[in-house]
Amino acid sequence: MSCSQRNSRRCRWPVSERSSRNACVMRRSRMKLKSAVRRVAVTALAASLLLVAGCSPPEDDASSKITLSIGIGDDGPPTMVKNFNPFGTDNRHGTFYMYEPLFVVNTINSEKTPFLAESFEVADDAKSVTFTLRDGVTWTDGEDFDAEDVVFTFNMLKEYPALDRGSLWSSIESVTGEDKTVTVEFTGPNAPAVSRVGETLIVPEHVWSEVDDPVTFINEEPVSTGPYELGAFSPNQYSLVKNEDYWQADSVVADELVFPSTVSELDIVNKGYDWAYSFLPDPKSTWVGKAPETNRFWWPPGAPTALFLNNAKPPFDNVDFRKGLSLSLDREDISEKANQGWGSVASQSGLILPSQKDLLDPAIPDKGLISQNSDKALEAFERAGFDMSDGKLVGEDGAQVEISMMVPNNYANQVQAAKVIKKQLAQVGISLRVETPQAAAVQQSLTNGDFEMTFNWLGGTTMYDVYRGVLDSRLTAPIGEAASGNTIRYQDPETDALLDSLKAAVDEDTRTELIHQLEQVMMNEVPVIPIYHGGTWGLYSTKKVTGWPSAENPYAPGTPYNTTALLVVTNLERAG
Amino acid sequence: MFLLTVWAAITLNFILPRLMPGSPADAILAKLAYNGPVSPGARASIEAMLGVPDGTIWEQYVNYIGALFRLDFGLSYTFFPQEVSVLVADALPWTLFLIGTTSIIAFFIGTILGIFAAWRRNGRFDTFATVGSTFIGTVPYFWLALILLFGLGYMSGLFPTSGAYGPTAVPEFSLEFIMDALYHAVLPALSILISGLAGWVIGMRNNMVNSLGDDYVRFAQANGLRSRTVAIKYAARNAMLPQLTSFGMTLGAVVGGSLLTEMVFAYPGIGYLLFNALTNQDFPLMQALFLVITLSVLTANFVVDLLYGFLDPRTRR
Repeated sequence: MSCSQRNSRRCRWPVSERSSRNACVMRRSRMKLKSAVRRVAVTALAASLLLVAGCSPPEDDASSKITLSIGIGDDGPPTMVKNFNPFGTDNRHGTFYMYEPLFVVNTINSEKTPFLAESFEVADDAKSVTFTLRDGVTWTDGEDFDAEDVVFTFNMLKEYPALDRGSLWSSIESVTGEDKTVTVEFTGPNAPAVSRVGETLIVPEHVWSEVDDPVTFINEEPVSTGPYELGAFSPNQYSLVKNEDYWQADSVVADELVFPSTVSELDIVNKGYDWAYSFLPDPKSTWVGKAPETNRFWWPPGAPTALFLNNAKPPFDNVDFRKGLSLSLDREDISEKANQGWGSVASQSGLILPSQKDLLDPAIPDKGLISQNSDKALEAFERAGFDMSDGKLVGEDGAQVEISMMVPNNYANQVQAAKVIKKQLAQVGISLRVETPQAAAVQQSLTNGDFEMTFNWLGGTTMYDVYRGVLDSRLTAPIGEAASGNTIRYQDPETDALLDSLKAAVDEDTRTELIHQLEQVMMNEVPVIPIYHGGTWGLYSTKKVTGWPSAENPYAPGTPYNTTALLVVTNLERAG
Repeated sequence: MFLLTVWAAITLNFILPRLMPGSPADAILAKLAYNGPVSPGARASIEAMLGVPDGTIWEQYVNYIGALFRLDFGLSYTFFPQEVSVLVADALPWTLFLIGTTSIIAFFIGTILGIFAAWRRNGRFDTFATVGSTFIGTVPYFWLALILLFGLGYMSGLFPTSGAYGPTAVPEFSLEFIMDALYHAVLPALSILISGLAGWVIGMRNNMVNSLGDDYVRFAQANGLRSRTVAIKYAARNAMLPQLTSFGMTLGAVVGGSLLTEMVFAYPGIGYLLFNALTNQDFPLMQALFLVITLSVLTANFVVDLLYGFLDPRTRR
């Protein structure tokens, strides 16, 4: 940490007093000028001792203000563009600490925490949802928040499809509102869409209606409702300061959040961030070992990483072949090597276990965890018309089965996993060719169906979204044409019908029952092969604040770059 | 000839990005997917955001040439909706400042040391300079840079390890900021200086040793001219010519930035920008950067050709 950083942290200002902020900036620049001159002189002498002496350590003022440094490396590298458009693709992570959705979904257990909406009610036919908005919420410029802002936001997404990243308007008919009530009508029964609607960040009508083109709007002076507002911004670092008028200001203890643009793993360990997000090898010694009293980490399993098989291409169009493939794999081994011991194997059911264990069909043996079994694999391959000969798995034409697998060259853990899979498939006589093009090329091949096997996420806001994303035949396209979803090109009218029933189901028991049936599809048809859970790599320090997400209190996944960050900053408590 | 080369470069610049696999929308999707699952339909909205190129490939080409003359490179895909010209204009000064100045300093110091080593060849200085330069010349640049970063940055904490200026500094013309920028430039500059110097020393020494053996040098010495005059005006002036050619090429390449330097030290220059553009299939940014780089290489070579005529009277005939 450099001198200037320390100095600037000591200099803070209340949000309402703009004049004192200027005074503060001036004071800081004088301090920085002095320290800069001193630094250069010292550098010329290359006397490290002098430098240390000239730069006094930060004062430990636990009783006063709390500044948290958040080490995610905000999409710098190396410098950041000032962009706080909540619907942009290159917005700063701080956006998610300023704008609020109607509710936040905890991806760990699908629990919804109300934010701008106090409550919501889904109609019995699942054709609409009505939100009751919170009272007494104001925008940071003093205007009141009301239904018109919500209606405006949704209609703006309709007018500009470029902003509608979740393609909400493919399922919404209309959004109407009055005073504190907003009703969203769907084009048909659609209970799962409620989550996606509820998670949309809401922007102020009185500001955004004046914007010429919200698609290219970079929103340099955000007007928002959330717990923080923009403090100082420089291309290397910016800060957010607490919104004192926030409707639940009492729940927010940190007065300032600091986001640097670039963060290396060495930085994370050496600079001691309060909240960092990064996979570190051996975190027990690299992270906790650095400050055993205060450094904590909790890495809950995230969305499963699955082998996506092109179901439209032989031999993957044969379910027995897919089963054989699944039985040939030792998931423990793959996960261990790909995640350096920090992964956990994923269930064929498509659920994230153990967090979603309540949704698991008890009829599924061994929670859907498939273990390697070469004999059974060969049986399955035989049913599919393949035989083992001379240590090679050959088809009816007598040629060895050759599969190509695509992995983006910059995804180190997936490249590693592919190498292990290559070895394991060699044991059942399959020759695997691993290709490592750029991520964009993999994405393009996936979209156009021009692949045999690759890795991808198995995820979504609700289980409906998870299964729809890989199983719904209405999302897919023939090979050579771009598919909006279901890139594996799985086709089954019965599964489509199951998905439609789940979409329309409001009752919890009916939903669970339908999810069980979809789990069975995953088990019996093996359209994709979940291998290991994606990680969430939250690293925390309890030096200044406590109450970070943990196994005992899993209220958020600990990712600092999406709406669940709101859950974290409103749950923290002052340490000591 | 110069204009023909420029046209060829511009045209190649148009074709090359279009031959790369994966579209910009794929690149953005892949980037979003890095952080978590992306919902179906996201692709459609991203394509709507970026806009699809209008018309046939010929119309696109004509539009592209037209836009070049207006210096309108469009919006960057990676840093959407930032303008490409703004991104390039922001990055260029840093590269010119860091790589440009250090390259020039390295050239002058290296050449002078080379002259000295050759004049007193086989002396103590020559042995030291030649062996030292050969050693440094074989060390991979990134390794040298990382050693400096680790030793002087992390271990001793003497110098900042990343960025072109302090975390809270905002680029502006003030003494404070310039001091801050200089302080941050020390390590990257040092790494370029050390690795760049070696090549110039060896190159100049070898050229100089060759020309020292030539008849005109002996003639000059036989005429009883002062040894300094012989060294500088006779031997060095001729030995300089090949050096100058490589210097021209180096200067042209400066604008391309030193990708490795900028990556290792997270320096916000053209090299890093190019890396971002390439990994994100950012066609508009790529085209602007390639254009700036090719034009500067061509211009530098052109200028060196002119200089040659001035330094070497034989070429003027």
